[in-house]
Parts: sequence; C-alpha cells; structure tokens
Amino acid sequence: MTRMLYYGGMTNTAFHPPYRRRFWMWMGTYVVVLFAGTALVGKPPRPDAAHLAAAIVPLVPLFFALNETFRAVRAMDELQRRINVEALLLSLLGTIAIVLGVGLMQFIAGIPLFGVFWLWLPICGLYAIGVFLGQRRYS
Amino acid sequence: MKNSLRVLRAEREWSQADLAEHLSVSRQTINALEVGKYDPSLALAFKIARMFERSIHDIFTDEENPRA
Repeated sequence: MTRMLYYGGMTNTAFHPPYRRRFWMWMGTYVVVLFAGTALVGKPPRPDAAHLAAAIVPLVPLFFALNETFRAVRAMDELQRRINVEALLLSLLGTIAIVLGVGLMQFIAGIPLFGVFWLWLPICGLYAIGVFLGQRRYS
Repeated sequence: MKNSLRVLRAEREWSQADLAEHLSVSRQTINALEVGKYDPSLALAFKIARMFERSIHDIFTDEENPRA
C-alpha cells in the first residue's frame, strides 16, 4: 500500500508526500528560529556572539530540511531522479551565468551588487523551472 | 528504442498505475517508457523482462538496428 501511494499514480511530483511534509515542517522551524533569533538580538548588526548565534542557529533546522531533500531524491525512481538532476544542472549553470552577469555589471558599469543572500532566489527559481520543464517533457 | 510494454501490459489487463506499482516506479515513468520518451536503465529493463517472463530482446528493439 505504501509503495502504491508513492509510485502507483497518486503522485508524480518530485517530492513524495512524507518527505515534502517533513521538509516544510523543518523550513517552518527555520523561519520561526530565524525571526525569533533576530528579534531577540535586535538591530543594528554587530559581530558579537549573540548576533552570530542568531545567524547560525537557524542553520540547524535548515540542515534537517535539506536532509529531507536528499532522502526524497534517493526514494525517487530513475526518471524522476533524471528530471531533478537536469533541473539542478539548469539551476547551477543559470546561477553561474547570473553571477557572472551581475559581477561584470559591477566591474564594468559600476552597478551595485546584490548581496550573496539573494542567491537562493535564482538557485531555487531555476530549479523549480527545470523540474516543471522536465515533468512536461516526459509526460 | 521501441518497446512492446503497452501490449504486454494490455495482455495482463493492467493499468499504467498497476504496472508502476509492480515495478516500484512512478506512473509517469511507465507512460514515458510506453510513448518512447524515455529509455530505461539496464536494471529497469531487466526488471521489466523478469516481470513479463520475456527476454529483453523480446520487449525492447533497437530502432537503428532492429535485427539486433
């Protein structure tokens, strides 16, 4: 029954429901810990122990969320894994192109750089586009 | 690569979901195999052959060399 739930047609998504549920639970914890930490230490940013802890402690639930991603990928069948690997390749190459483009805009045109923090946006966005395109190609 | 997966499945009156369950893959994978959008790994091809009690050559045909 469990196998049917996973593979028998109830879902064709990259993340099977149990992994997806746990992933979002850890991501929710990450957001709560992040906001609680930053609210506790307050502004302005300072390189002291409390501020560093507020920045680093949220990485613990984030690590568990990423671990769920690995578990989900390992549980996928070979086609789903291929779709995800191709999406990751699009994400990696696309992000490299964006970083190079933005870097050159800074060096050549003097346009201010985006912070490294915002890199998650093209990485996750391009990955999502890659999965969407892959699902369409093989359906 | 062509295959006779759809015919073999129909002989057993299985849906794509049934076959997917037996092979522990997604229904999308079965559909992609049947319409020729995806060629299986050797491991999956052997699994399919074992399931239908046929040889790989009976199920899969190399379009560039059909006699192989």
